[in-house]
Amino acid sequence: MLTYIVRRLIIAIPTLLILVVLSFTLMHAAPGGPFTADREVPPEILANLEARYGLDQPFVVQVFVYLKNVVLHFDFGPSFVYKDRTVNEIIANGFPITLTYGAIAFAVAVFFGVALGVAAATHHNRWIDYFAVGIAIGAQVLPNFVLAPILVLVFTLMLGWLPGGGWEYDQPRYIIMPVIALATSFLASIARITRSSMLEVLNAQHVRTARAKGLPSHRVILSHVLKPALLPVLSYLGPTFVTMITGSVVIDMFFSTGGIGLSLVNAALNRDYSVMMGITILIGALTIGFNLLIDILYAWIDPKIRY
Amino acid sequence: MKTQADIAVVKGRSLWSEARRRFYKNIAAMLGLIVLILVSLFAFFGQYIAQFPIDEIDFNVIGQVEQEGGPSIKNGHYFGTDDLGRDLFARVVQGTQVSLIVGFVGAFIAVAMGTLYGAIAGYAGGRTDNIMMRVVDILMAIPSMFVIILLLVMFGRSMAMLFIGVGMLSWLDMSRIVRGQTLSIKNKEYIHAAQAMGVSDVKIITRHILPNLWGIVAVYATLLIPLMILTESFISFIGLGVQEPLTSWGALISEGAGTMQYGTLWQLTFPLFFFVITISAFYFVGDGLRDALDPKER
Amino acid sequence: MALLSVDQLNVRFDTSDGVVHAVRGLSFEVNASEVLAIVGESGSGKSQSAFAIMGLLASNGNATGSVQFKGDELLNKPTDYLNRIRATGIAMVFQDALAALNPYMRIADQMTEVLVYHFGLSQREALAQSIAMLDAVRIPDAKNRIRLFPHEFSGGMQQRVMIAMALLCKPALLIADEPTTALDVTVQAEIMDLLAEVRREMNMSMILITHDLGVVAGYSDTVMVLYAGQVVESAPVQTLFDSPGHPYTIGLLNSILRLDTEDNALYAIPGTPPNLLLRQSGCPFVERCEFAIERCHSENPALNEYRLENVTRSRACHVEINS
Repeated sequence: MLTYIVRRLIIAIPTLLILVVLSFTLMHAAPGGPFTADREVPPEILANLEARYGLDQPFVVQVFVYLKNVVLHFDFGPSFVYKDRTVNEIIANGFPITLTYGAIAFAVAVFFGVALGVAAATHHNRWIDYFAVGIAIGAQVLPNFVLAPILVLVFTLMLGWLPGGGWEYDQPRYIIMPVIALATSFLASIARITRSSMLEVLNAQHVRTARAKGLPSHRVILSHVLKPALLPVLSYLGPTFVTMITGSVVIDMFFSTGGIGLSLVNAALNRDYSVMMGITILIGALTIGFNLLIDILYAWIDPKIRY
Repeated sequence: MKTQADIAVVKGRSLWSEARRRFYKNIAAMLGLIVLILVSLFAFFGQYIAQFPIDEIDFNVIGQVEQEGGPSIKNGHYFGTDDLGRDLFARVVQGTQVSLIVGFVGAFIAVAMGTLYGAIAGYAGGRTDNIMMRVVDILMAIPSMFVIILLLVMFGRSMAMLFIGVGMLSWLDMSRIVRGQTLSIKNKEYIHAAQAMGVSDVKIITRHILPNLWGIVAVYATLLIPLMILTESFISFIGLGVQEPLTSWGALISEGAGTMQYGTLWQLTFPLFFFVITISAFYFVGDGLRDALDPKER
Repeated sequence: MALLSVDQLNVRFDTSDGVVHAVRGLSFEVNASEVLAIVGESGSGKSQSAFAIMGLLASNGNATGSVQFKGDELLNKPTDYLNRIRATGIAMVFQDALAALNPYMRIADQMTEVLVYHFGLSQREALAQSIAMLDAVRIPDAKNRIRLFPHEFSGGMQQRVMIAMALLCKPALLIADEPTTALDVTVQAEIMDLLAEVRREMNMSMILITHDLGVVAGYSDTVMVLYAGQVVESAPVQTLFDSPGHPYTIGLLNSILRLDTEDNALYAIPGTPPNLLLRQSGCPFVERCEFAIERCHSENPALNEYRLENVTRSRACHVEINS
């Protein structure tokens, strides 16, 4: 098991390095980028940049310096646009917000998605099954950027129940719509995957054995169906995590929640490359770490995986 | 256990005609197909019905869009106007065009790259396969949407960049699926027979392996198109997609959502309607294809 | 009273291509410590009959008729009711042990849960009894190997685990569904001998389901031959081998490889079993039968009981056969 984890780590680390180098190279190659002369950069920032990246140095040295700062000091350098702010400050400002509603949305999607999928599969071809399938189909066409306006239209403009945007840590009503908008399509996908894999496992021969052993239905489901049925869900969680983070961009924009998604879009529109790179690398690192966690969980659950 | 699949009717019908028969019997899939045909007609011939070009500002409604800019046959704005007094019908037609094209081209790029890459990896096997799939693993861990945004910002927001970015997002999944299929086809006897007769590798891949991948590629391509459209809409929604005066569903939805508190709800509902029915139609057709080609999944 | 009596059992499956009649009008009895062999090709309905008895049919299947175990009706009873009889009254051994065992659970957990649920044993007692049972089916080093997962055993050992698990609650009847089909030839005999031995020791009844008449010979009392969901012949094992009364049985016997004759050509019954979706009016075997007469095409023969040389047997055939 330990060697397996080490092996996964050995793959994860170069991935992260490739991501950093790739982003840096892209930034370097970008026409009108920060390292080309045709862009007017305020002198203070230029001084910052020069001090930081050693612009007179060869490219390889610059990559290495950037890499060293990111890896050793977790320092993404100064912003290219705001002269008195560093990338770290910008991230520190928005990230806790994204993390808060993102984690809640993730938990909601997984918990209710699995619950709905299990309920649908165990009541195959009954009303709860049709209900779950209906939700799953409906939510496919309701991605966050479609659902968010609809939610605001109904709950803010028509009913006036919830604020249409903003963020207060201590006020749950600001968090409700972002969570629903972000979680719904994943909840539906997880429910669909859970349902179909449950239905498959319910027909598996080892489940027939369990029933032949005279175990009560709930016991059969809990100890013989759930574990294998949830493995596909587990492998779906990796991509879910990434797509959810991506979705947070829409949430931050539409609900003005102030997470890093907004920083990213602003940076994109202002061509604030160092902020974009910083956020991309951070998200990449989180993704890689999360996938690593999933792989380890998977290996722990499935005894047939060879370490 | 004896299930439905085990008891198949033994008749000399070909795989494809059997699949076609099943597809025609699938009401949801057929409805989806009809919707897709209608939406395509709308996208590519709608401009001849529109009374205004996409960027012409109608000064009769400007300043009083809420009162005058609603959908109306009389003044020629069938879907009303947008916030700037431009004809929404013409803009939805144009946006539908962009979204469909991005969907199809993006899916085509993803399918072509993924199929080729996966087929080569699966056919080569061994070390090559190992390395190629490791590369896919690594690329998969990179948050691709962020890289697309990075690309779009750095190299300018052009349609070409959008195609490349969106297509690049999804060939990875495709390559994994195709590799798995190729591996299983590769071990079939007729491939061994071809190899024994000295048929070249290139020929085996193009003649024997790719044609047999058709079914699964068709299914995933159909399911990829709505994903591509979703991705493009997402990028347009956050304002990084196609540039004005061109538009797409994502941009239209974004604009409509931004103005809905002023009572001009049609600006949201028309693009939303087309978006929702098209995406649903693609999913229904894709599911129908999958069921038709692989009845075990029922 | 018979231990198990099955009367006019019909099993149907509703599929998208139509209704499949997997089993039609099956009736038989199993007495205490008797071994009944049910023989037939795949698709003859032998496994589905067993699943119907245990209430384990797939969701699109439904059964009619009557199945009585010690006088209790079992057919179409709710799961809670059947659970009192499953494992403790009737237990089952499945064909493919690797697929039939839960791949994600250690053998220990799969075995102990039966004892804990049915007899309320403590985990420790259940584990001790499970190990004892593994010893009884001669799994070496059972004490340690009970901690393993199914895929860590060889095919023959997996089937032994399967058998041990079925025997845990000392059932009165064991249904063995093709217990040796998935195994190597050399291991097949070991498993059959093991089954015979434990059956004798525990004085159980057994239904042995197989497609292989060769397996039947040494291990059963009565043989019932199924074809296309119907019983075509039923007789004591020796009688059936000595004087088969149905053309299908004759075909099956001829297709067994015999070492005691000079003729080495292996016989195969021509043709394939009928499609169970399309039901013709005549005898289901008529297309493959070398004895067929005109009547066979129009009228499905009923199963008739008769006595021959002081033996009661039955067969379903219009033609008089002297073998």
